[in-house]
Amino acid sequence: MAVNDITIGQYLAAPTLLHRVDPRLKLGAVVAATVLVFIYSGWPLLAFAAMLVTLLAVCGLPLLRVAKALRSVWVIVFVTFLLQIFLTPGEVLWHWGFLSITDTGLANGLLLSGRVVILVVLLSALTMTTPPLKLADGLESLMRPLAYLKVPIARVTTIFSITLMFIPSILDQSSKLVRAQMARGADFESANLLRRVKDVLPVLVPLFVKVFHDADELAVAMDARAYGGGRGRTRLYPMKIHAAEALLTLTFVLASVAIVFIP
Amino acid sequence: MALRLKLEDISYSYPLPGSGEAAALSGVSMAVEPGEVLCLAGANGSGKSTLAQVCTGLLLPEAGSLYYGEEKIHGRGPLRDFRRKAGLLFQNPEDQLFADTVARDIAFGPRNHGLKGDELEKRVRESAALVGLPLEELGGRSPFSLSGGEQRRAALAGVLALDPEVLVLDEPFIGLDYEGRRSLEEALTRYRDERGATIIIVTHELSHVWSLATVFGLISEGRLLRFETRAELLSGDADLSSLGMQLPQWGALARELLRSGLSIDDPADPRALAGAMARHKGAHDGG
Repeated sequence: MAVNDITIGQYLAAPTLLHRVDPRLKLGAVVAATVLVFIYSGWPLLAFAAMLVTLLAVCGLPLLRVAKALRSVWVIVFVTFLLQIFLTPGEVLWHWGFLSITDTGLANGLLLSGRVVILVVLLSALTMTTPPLKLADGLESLMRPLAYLKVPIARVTTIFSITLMFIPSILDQSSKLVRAQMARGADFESANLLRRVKDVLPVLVPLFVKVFHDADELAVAMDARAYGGGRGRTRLYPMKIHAAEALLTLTFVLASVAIVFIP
Repeated sequence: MALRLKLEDISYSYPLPGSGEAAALSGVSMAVEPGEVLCLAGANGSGKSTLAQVCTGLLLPEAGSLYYGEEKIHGRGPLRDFRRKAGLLFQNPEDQLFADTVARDIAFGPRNHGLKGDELEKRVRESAALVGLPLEELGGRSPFSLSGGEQRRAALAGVLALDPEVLVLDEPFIGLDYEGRRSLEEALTRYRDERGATIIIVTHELSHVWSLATVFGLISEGRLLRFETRAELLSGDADLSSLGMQLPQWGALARELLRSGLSIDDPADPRALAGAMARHKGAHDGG
């Protein structure tokens, strides 16, 4: 089932070097890298992509799993690419009926889809190596200055981490539903597209019912354990940045910036 | 009428998060005759639920083959046909129920099999009656508003509505009170007698299926160790506790009495045990 192939938001239990890096550093690095990805184009962008992939490989992240994350967004990437190459004005390279590919269109299409791919890889590397709770902790800590503007940071980050935690649970629920219906004669493996679409619909409604039900139970469970959120909460595991982690992150960011000076 | 269900050297493993996998079944071979009630007994995590799903063709084994009658279940066509003949009651009825009303949930399976109109309605009514579910009262309600026992019965009705020749039940007695267990046992016995179906029950609690099962398959760590009858379980020296299970209380008593030399006609029958104890007492009092 295709639902099991969605990797964004799914934590990778096998520890890698990147798992050990403080979530705040990783968040910072991802933000910096995102900005650079939108600044760079052409060779610097390619060099950055190559560096990113090398870093992930060296740190022991299974690249195949990262690539799987791309499978869930390839439609978006492809549609973006098509829209760009056909709808951008410029010097016509190829022409057929009302369709024409222009040089700027081709360049823009490649650039934009390249950026989307790199961003997806960055984000999946972040979520694969950072458990949702740590990610939320990191966000909370980074957003702390906003508390002076009366933003309810703790609640925002809790909502964020619960949303992330629910993704695998929704996948799990949907595969259970698929199996329950398959056991009673629903045919999800049929080659007939119409029949398959017809069979997926009865999965969606109960899926939402169950997810809402689960969310309700989670709220009760949190209440029962006296969740209050807000100020004055301390941490069981205080976050601490070690020199090696900081060095690794700094090197990555500096190297990413240095790319621009490559002649 | 069911056919013989045969498993040959079945292996299955689950992928672990990250890399690697955990073997749930390794090299399981067994055969179940039509009309037999097989109890697959094992501790939590022994692989019995996986085996249950393999028996219904829902999980495809990585290695080994499944035969129904003389036919090997292989490829899309035969697999789909076999799935139509097999029914699985999930361990947790909440994983199984999904429609907005009980009646529609029961009708989901037979409708997929092409039943319509009066025929469909009749099938739904019959299946609900078989499990003792009052359809007039509960048929229009959401399955999630039912009590645990009612949910279990609604889920079973949904499976029986498929008219399966092979009925596989995963821990069907868990969470049911005495009355619920008794009526479920009756429903299963009736179904087997009326349709000549093969029934496979997965459980870790032998007392729940003690009188229902005709044969017990002991599972441990993904392997099917051996088959035993009730009498063999009592008279043999199998150490069930090392497999994470125990005999029913009086069964354990019968086993101890057998070991101490008391002769019991049928150790699997509590009444025979009582008779033997009474005779023993009489002999002592008389002598």
